[in-house]
Amino acid sequence: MAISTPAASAAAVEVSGVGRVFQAKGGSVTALHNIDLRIEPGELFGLLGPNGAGKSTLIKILSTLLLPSSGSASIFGLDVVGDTARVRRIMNLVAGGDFSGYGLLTAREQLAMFAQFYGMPYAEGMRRVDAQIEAFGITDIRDRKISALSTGQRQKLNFARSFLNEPWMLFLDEPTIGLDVSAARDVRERVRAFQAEQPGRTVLLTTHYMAEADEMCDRIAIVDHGRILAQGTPTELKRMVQKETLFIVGVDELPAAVSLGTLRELPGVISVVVRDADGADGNGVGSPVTRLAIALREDAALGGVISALAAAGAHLREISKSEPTLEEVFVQLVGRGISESDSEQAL
Amino acid sequence: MSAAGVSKDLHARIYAETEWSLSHKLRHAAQSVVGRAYPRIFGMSREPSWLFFDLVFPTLGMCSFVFLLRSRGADEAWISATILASALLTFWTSVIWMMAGQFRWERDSGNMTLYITAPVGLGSIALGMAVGGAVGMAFRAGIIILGGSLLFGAQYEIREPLLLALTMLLGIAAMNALGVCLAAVFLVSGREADHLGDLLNEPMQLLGGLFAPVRSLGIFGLLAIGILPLAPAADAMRQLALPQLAATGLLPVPVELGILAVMFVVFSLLSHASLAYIERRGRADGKLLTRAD
Repeated sequence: MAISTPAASAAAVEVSGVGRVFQAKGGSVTALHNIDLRIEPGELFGLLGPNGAGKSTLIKILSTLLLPSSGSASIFGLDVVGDTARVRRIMNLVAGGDFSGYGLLTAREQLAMFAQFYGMPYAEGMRRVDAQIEAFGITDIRDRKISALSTGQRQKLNFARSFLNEPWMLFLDEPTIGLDVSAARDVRERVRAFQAEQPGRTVLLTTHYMAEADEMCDRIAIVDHGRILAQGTPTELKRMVQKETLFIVGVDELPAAVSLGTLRELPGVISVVVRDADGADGNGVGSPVTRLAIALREDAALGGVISALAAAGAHLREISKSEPTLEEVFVQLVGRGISESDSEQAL
Repeated sequence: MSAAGVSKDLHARIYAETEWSLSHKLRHAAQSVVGRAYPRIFGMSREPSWLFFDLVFPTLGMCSFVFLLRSRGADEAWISATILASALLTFWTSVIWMMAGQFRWERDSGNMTLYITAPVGLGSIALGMAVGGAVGMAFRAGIIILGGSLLFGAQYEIREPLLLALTMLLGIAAMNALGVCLAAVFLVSGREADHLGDLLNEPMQLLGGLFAPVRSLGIFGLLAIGILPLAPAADAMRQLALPQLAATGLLPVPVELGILAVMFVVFSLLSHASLAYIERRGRADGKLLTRAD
């Protein structure tokens, strides 16, 4: 059967009406309900949700490990069901808590083995193996047996493995689970560098670490009970729970020439309240600071407020933008915190 | 990198990368076989305790048969036959332990997920496992024959070394092809298959005619020689390496070679079908190929 070249406008990931039902002893369990998703080339897209939300099921479908019960999905225009072999040539996968490989092999031998599986010529494979060992800073363990490596070292090795075939589509399924802060930071930096090296490399990350999603992802979909509840950039999602922009402006003392009422009448200002009425110095400078919580219709309105304060003789001490966290977004959308959701799953 | 920065020809370029020529596919398959064989050939030699137990336990079993035969005043040719059978047994043990049970281990360790999502076929992985296992076992079998010959003075009269080598090669190939089929069965059947594998160990040695010729099993011997690669391989090798025992053979060597060749083809076809089946079923049910979380 002839396969036509995918359209030049194809997304990196296109998911259309994908559903997945598992047969269990007590009956069928629906893990995904008619998911629609589009990820553009070059994006780092996050699926955020508690355990059992359906994140891993979606990744398994996209990475050709699992067939969808309904709907269709493609990677760079290649159908994950019909073009399986081609999809596998341009993708790779890292799962958290993964202890794959053979304990008797050394780190370098293990990478070399996978390089053979990924189809590159031997010499090129070995060049990439050594380059990844260098890039991940694991030269000290290159000749150490896999069985003697720590969790962090093994996960770095897993990442190094996943970069060997220089995949256009990289699936990261809870990749930093069980890693310490330093190791997690290292692999996040490598993922960013990996994407920066070649425009178009796309990453789909599942996580239930809010900070990780916020820090890494261009866009995020919040998933629960097999449904996408919302998707957008982290800023867009936060805007869903806080429509206005909130700035905290700290001044030495509010001058008599300007009142809260005056500030509230400025263009673009929604409300102004004194948040820190006791004047405690949060900066440790030693002088009391009055903090004004100023809600604006848009960021640009801040200029007028600052000008008004400066004109009245106020000494500006601090300005910070107050944003809701993704945790707050999650709570609003799902109705409970992500850790509560995980506890429910554990029960 | 934002989507806006991505060049227009990106998709065409990516699609071109998925086009593999026949020579690329063949090179990749060969490299994958070597890649998977490597841990078996070199990795296993790094665990001295495995080497010790793999060599000492079969040798102890062999010794018990030899002492029994000597105590009964058996012909010395049967001592040599027992040592040869013990060497052959290492290959069969490899099929049961390192082929049949391997896919379940690969799944539970997470390797199967990486194999399935990589552009490598399960056939190349299975062939790599077989080649690696056979090379590793050839080393052990060689030591058993050498040690047995030194300990018990076993002697062989090999008049047709090429035919003997071909018998051994076909026997190992047919056993491993059967091993791939069993690997699929064990993966689908779960732990029960492991228990069955354990239980069948001794019956297989009996039906395989390792320590007594299948000729003595009557109709069961014929049945065994028709379905179990161990039986024609052991019977033919005994005839070829020990001409004084040729009369104990059930069928002429060329016929047994033909049976081994047919077995190899049939089990290879079945292996191909069973590997395709487990991948298809695994992707459909979501459990067979991935580690339980």
